[in-house]
Amino acid sequence: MLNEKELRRYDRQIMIFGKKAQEKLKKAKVAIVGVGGLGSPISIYLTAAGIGYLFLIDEQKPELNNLNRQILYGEEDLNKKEKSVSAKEKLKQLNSQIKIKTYSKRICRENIEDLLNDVDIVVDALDNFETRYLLNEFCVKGRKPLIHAAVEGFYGQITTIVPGRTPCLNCIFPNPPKKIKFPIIGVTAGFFGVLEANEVIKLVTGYGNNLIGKLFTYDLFHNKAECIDIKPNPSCPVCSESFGLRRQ
Amino acid sequence: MKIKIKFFTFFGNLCGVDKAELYLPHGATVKEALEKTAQDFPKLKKWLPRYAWVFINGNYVELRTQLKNDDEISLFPPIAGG
Repeated sequence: MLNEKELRRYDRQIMIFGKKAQEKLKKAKVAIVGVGGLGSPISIYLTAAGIGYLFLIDEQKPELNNLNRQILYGEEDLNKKEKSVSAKEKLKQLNSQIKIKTYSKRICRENIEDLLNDVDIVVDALDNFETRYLLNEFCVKGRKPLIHAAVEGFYGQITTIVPGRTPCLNCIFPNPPKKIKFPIIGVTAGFFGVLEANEVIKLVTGYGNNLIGKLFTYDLFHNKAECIDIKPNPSCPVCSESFGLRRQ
Repeated sequence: MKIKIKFFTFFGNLCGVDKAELYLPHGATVKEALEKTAQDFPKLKKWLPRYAWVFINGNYVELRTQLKNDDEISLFPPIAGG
């Protein structure tokens, strides 16, 4: 149940989707893996929207060349606390009622199940495909929705993966890109981070349409949006079995 | 046979066009289509044929996949940043 203060705090969005949807947000447990360029706006907007429990995972400390896009951090944070810890402090100032847990070590095959077993939704705010594939495998196995986005320069892509209903990350991108130092401007990460937070809010509340089976790209340089339908790969080594189970 | 190719995000920017048409012999593969694309648009040589994500009608396809007349290839640059 929402208390008096929450009803006032979320009044303008309750006008959109009602009290029950706001209660769903309050009960939701969401992990944000990576609290950098994408993770900053995702965590800010989910905190503001009243997601009940956020789990922030990032082992790095803010560096000077992060500050053009990782808007949770400022000069006073450089090389001090890990991003997840520093982010929690900032987000608590925004909304003290949200439960925020942090993990400041690298997520890996050995710890992923212990870390993410309790969350309802996983948000990919990473900068590498190695860990993205790990999240994807875990989410397919655990039947948890995974919101994927990636950005570079003025461009980005986003999709919402719901195991058993949509292609998984391995169906869509079976080959990882080359590891490079990628160019990026803050507005691109901000734009796609906000879209990821929006996917979470719609998924939790059931209000609106998610990017289910759709890959959305946006070119902020030319203000051009594209959305293509994407299909599961019947021979995907990660998710084809889950589709088989679904059809039984 | 005629193949349509659609360039997404910065591939379109590099090519200066959003889409193009290719004329290839029957039985040509995705790899051959991408090699021809790299000839027509030399700025894509750094990525093609290997470093791109390729979809036909919403399905990710491998380089060895054989094309059919009127197939439309969607070509995405692989991006990983976050």
